Amino acid sequence: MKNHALNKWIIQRVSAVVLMPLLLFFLYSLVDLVNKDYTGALDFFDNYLSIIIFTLFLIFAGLHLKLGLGEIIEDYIQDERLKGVLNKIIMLYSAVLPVVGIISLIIIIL
Amino acid sequence: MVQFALPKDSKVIEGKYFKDKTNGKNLKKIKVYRWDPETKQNPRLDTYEVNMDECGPMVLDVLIKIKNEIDTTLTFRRSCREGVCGSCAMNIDGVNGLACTKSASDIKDEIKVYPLPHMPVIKDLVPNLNQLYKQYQSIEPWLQIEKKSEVGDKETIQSKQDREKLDGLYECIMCACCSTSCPSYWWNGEKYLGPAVLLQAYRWIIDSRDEDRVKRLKKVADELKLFRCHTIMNCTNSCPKGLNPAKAIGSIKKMLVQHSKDL
Repeated sequence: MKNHALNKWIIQRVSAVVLMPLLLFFLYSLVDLVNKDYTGALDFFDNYLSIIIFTLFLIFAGLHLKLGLGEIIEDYIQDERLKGVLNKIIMLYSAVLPVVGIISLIIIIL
Repeated sequence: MVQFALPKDSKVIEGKYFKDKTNGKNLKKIKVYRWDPETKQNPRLDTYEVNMDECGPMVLDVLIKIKNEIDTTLTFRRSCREGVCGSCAMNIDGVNGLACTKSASDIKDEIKVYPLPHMPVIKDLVPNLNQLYKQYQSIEPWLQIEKKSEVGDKETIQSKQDREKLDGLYECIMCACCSTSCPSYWWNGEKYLGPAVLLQAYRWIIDSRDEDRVKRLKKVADELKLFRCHTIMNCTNSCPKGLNPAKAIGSIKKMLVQHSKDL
């Protein structure tokens, strides 16, 4: 597909759908982890299923975050230079978050 | 940056009060936005007392009565008086609609009438719709048939099923109630085509007789022209003809996915 705007729109919709079950798993894990101590939390991440699902969640959340915030910038910021700077900050922020998260998960399993 | 506050000279101040002189018992207060570019004063909200026993039932009847009998300087557009031309589109009681099809008795207490939101005002209730018409022109709202020689003088036949696809689209009267109620159109009106024009674009895209479907799709498949629609649905809520521009925009997006290889 050549059309950039259409691609962006499709990716935003697909990532939203994929995030629904992933978000439910994330919320369930969050509630579960609140009642656990540090060792319990390490145990929780000590299986491949949790790691894979969390990795997918971080990747899709970062992607969806980037596209969603980009839409807000496109809507409300008229100045092209400011728009460019803000888009770069968003791209950096939405890339750093999943990368840090995934590195943390790798450290835990190692 | 989007401007969230109005400039000082755009703030609406309290205007004149026109008391009823007919000693009527069934009085209705109507507050009308007034602005005259020649006076260089702030816009104001004039209040009129109208005797509803001597007035027609619709908001347009009230406005016509005011213009004829109370204040001849009041300016507004009107023509057909039956919801066909779209001239009297304005913001009535906080919702965009046609003054000729909106019953005054449906509004409790006083009636507030403003011009269509977020458009430049020419005078009083008359907005400048030039930009909308230019955008309408840009989608080439006419049938594109190149094989004229084959068709000759004969009719271009369309099946009943294909004709039914135009229902809910061809009825649009381009009153601009939908576009001017859309926040995306408020912020990006110069680039985003808006619900009225996109509904019209879809009307020609889906027409089985038209030969430029892909070209039309290519034209609207733009981040700003089409994808500023965030399905807020104000357009559908405000359409005085009961049409669904949001659905038409959704259908264009669906068709873009179907024709993605051609784009």
